[in-house]
Amino acid sequence: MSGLRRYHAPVWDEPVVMEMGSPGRRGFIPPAAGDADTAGFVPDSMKRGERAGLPELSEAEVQRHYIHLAQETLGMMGVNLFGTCTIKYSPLLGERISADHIAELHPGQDPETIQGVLAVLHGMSEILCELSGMDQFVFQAGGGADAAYVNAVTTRAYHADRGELEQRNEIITTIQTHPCNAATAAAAGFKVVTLMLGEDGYPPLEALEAAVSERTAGMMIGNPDDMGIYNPEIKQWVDLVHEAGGLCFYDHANFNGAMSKLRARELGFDACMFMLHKTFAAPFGGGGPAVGAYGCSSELEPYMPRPLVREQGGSYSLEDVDEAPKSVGRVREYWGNVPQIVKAYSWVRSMGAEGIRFASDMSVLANNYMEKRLLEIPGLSISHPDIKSRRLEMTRYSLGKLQEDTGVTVFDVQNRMVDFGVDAPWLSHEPWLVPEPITPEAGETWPIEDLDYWIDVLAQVCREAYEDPEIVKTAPHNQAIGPVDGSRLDEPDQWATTWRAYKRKHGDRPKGRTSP
Amino acid sequence: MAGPTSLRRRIGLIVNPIAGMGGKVGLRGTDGDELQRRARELGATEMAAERAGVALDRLRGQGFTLTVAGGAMGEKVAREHGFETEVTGRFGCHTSPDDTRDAALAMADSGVELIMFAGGDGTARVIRESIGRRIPVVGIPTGVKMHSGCFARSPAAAADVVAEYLGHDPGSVRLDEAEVVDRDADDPKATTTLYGTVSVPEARSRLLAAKSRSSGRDAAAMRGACLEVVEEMVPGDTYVIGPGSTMGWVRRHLGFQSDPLAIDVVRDRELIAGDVTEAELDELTAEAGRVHLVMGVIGGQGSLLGRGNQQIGPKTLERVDPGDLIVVADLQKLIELGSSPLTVDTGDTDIDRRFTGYRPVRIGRKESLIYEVAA
Amino acid sequence: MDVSKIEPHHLMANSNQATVEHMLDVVGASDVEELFEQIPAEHRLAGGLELPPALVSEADLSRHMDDLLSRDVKPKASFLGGGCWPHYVPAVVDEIVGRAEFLNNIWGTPSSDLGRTQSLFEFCSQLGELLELDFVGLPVYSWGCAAGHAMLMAQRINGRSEVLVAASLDPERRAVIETYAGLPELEHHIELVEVATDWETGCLDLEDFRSKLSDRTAAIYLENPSFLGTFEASGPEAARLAKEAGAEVIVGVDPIALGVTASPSAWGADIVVGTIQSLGVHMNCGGGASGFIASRDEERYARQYPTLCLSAAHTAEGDIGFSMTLFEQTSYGSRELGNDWTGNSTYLWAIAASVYMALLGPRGFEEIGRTILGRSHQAAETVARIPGVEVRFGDAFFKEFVADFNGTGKTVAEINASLREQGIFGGLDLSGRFPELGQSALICVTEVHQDEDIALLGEALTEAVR
Repeated sequence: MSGLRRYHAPVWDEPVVMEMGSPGRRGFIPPAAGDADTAGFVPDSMKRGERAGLPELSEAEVQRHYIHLAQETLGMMGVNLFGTCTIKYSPLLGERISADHIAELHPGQDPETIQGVLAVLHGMSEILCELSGMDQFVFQAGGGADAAYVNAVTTRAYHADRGELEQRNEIITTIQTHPCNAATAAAAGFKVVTLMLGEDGYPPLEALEAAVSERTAGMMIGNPDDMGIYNPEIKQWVDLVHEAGGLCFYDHANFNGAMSKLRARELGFDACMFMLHKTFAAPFGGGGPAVGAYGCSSELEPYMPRPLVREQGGSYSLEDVDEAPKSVGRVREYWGNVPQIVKAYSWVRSMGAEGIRFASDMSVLANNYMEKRLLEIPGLSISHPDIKSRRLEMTRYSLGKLQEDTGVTVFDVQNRMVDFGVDAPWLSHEPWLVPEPITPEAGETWPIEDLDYWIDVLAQVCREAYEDPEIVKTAPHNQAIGPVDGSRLDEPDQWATTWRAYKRKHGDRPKGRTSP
Repeated sequence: MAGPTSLRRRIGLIVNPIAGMGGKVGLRGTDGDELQRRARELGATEMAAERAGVALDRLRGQGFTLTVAGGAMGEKVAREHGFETEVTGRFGCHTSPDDTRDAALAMADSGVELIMFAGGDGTARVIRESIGRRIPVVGIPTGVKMHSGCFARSPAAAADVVAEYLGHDPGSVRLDEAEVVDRDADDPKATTTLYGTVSVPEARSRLLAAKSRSSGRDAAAMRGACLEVVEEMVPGDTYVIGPGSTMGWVRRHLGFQSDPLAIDVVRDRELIAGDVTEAELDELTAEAGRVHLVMGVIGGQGSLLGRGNQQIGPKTLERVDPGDLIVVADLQKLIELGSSPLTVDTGDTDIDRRFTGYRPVRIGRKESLIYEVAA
Repeated sequence: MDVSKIEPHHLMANSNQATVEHMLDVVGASDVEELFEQIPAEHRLAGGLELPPALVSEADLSRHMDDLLSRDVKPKASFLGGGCWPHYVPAVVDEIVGRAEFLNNIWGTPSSDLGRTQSLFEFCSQLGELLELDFVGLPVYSWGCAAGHAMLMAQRINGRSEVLVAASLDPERRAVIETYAGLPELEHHIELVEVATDWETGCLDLEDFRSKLSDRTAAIYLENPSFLGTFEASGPEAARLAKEAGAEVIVGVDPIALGVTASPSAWGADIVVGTIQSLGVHMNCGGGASGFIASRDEERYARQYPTLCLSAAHTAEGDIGFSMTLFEQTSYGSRELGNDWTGNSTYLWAIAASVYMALLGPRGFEEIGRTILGRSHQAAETVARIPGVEVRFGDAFFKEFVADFNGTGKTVAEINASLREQGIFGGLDLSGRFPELGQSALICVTEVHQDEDIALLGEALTEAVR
């Protein structure tokens, strides 16, 4: 294991919190209730019988328990090149700013008391309009998928308003576009027409020609896709969909390589989406709170969710549905995950136009650097090897040959990489078009030393697969626990999403290392 | 811990020693004595045993009892690779389909849980004829033609499927149905013919090709897509339901079942003629108004319409508007085609041409994939 | 890119000249521009980007952000609630959600992500104890989203397409639910049927409810306490009737009330949804919104969850770990075949809530419930004493009550403007939202409001209505 770090995850054998504590202990004492007899305020039919079966712990126990759990979480403490999610360092200043200024704000406050935060939201919309060419942004969506949903329902409202919704009930997408596009279109009630890739790594124009019709409500598409392949015919695509009467939505989940290089609106798109928690460096939170910023043309603006921030003479107000009767209204309560918007705004301000251009360059350069080195690893190949042009900010690889030669799967590889302090790389969204896929993304924040380390770790794991596959198949060995057997978790007598269910189905926990 | 033999899991192995011989010498199969003889004359060697050996090596230490067909049909290779075996029969080096048939039957009768076999589509056909779906099978690809759904991607992958099967309690592994297809080796233009289905461990599909964790999608998707087809059926119109396991969902939604090879005719959601011949179908469609064709995709080569579905002849096809050809196929099956188009090959190029181009394929309820169809 | 002129940036490790040159050398490109060869020239942005000037120094940026956000006004006290409430967030919660391991993270393997997945499992487990329900999904974006998803679950379960909702439903939440309900032109549209509110009690009008319940009813959706703060006393009866009609009973709940009130599951709810903002999450200007879905642990419900679901599982050594269950039914598992859809959610807030519930424990929930009951009623008494002001719906309420200003001759807007001048944010203006209530406001009082805050409200209101 020459040259690789000696790593072992912290092992705390931390019990499930439900197993901890002692009757009567307290971790937080609420302000006193006072003398009022409160019992009479709750109708008898609504009174709680027994106290909840929660653990009883002192404050310090709770703090240490969750710190132990934090320590038993690898995440970005090692090297994490989780592709398609554009993992970036999130500047900590944003945490201080949001704690000081945003934490205790209420969205129902009179606008004159929140001119500062409204200025930030308005400023962020302006910035995203400049990056995309769109006319207005809304931040209500709680993530990228939610922004795709915003597009689906905005498209729905647009066609309904024109009396064409019953006829226009199809959304076109591609097999390599993030599954949330197909899923949210379907959730909004549309049929989904998916285009398969052709030999060039993107669907042929003829396939789109066959797909568009008077039933087309719109197209939802990402570009470049997760293989790092850019569809150079995208303008013709947009034209075709427009000619058929549909709307075009650009899913900018993969924006790092395209930011400062092109504008969705200039390519003809009617709407687009940015992930402020990915591309714009607001923290992930392990899956939110996140922001899917949705922008659209002035033609679609009447239909997009409300409220929107409006500015007049340096003073900001909120425009709600009473002033926008065609608006879809809400996809989520209030106006979005405001702390994350503030952090994203602050990131853009620290980068400036030049910094954003530079970041885009660096992310594409770093990916191409990784590709050079990765393709030297036996057992690994690139998707669509016939396509010789350079990939953008990420590249999809296949470990199909490794699996074929050794029986080691990408899941095994994920499990072994974490033994070296490298958290599991992303594989592929559904469906897998190449066997045993793996999709790293370097981004602009990770130093080359970390990229090299990541590559060295993968090379080591692949070498082990050929020389001693058992060590990979039984990994991880250096984590707090070994591999978890999830094979029967889809069976009703096995799954347990709560401790109550676990106790009922499995009784006392087995005498493992983590027994309390 | 290895228990007493009687409690150990029992896995069968059948090797078709002549499978795959044809490929290296430019033949498209070794079905029949004549082709076998020609293959040997051309200098073919027995690669089936070699491939089976690769799989066996990968299964060493799994703690199961290997039941083999005798001699060259499994016993020899198992011994060479250090396996102690139970033998079900003795066969020489000149084996026939009957030997394969007998060995499979004997294994199923004697309580073998799963049969691995090394061979091609011809071998799969024989095993299907012998044991049907009584116990699951896993094909180690060795033949020239491996378009049936029961083959793993490679010998190693076949071993992985068996290892995964053994990792579960007997009876707890979910099973899938896989189509057995074949083509006439003598005819270079032959299209794929469906012969029926065999049972395979669900894990098989994961290792067959590019396949993720979501192997459970397939059945739900096909069930949903076929339900939608049934829901959309226009009263009075005639629907010709094609063969194959996917089309089984259409039949189940309509409330009947038939042989996987059958072509059925439906009107107003009622079966009006089952398992029709070409003449019967021509007659039925000649009198009908609008005729829709509901088809699955047969085999691993994307055969959509062809001489394999002989009952659907040119007369019927001429009556079908290309827009009324409804194709339902599992997304994974299409992905495994690797961008090569679905094919129509009816023997009549004018008819073929009508059905080519980019066409929607139903891959789930309210979901279609635009895919190329070529002649 | 002119490599000799690049200026290293603190957020880009490789932005130094030596590294850029090395990487270009390895990839065999003379200029980064070559790497963008896939994008046709006519797709490229012609001019430059015009963005506000960069503040590359954190010191400058910090000052800029402080200056900008200092335009916001901090009140002496605020009585705004209505789905987003001021509750005290213990310092331990802030520390844990601020931990770098949790703050900026994405899914790992069950082993490498043990701590985070265990925290999420503990969230589900503790919430399950409060709700007395065995199946809890990972959180969704908000309470309204949870209610919307739950209605779609019911529709998938029984194939029916009407959902009965109370007229007193929060307009904000209702707007979300309406979006989820879809439009009649398309598939799986849900028709929302409004059930009248008894404006004397603030509760459901049971007669109207009976008349609207039918074999078309997929589900009923109630809340307890309701948006107007009242306990939904007819909830158990409505639930019983709904079940007789073959409908699913969905109940929304604010879990901070569960120390003193029964879980809706105890009086007939099949699916319980709600917020977790009240469990240790700052209001964050609405960015604290977060929702949950829970139910009995039955396949009928479990197989309809759109959320990611995390299950306890074992390792070969007998350790407990956590892995995804029922993944295939999510949109990640099956694209559009999934049960509706999921994506990033509010998982960090689930960790906050997990820590919060562990800190409070059974007694803490009981006491905080009593405190909120006590202080909100204390405030209601204070408000009711002001001439011309009336408190509606009696005293069966939790945390929020409706102050009726119709007798003052002033609008809520006028009153709140006066309060604002006195440094106080008054209650949510209900006028326009509920015409039946005229000029009324929803006043929110929690454990953070002390005697002097309530006194301040009384004095300021007295001044405002004068």
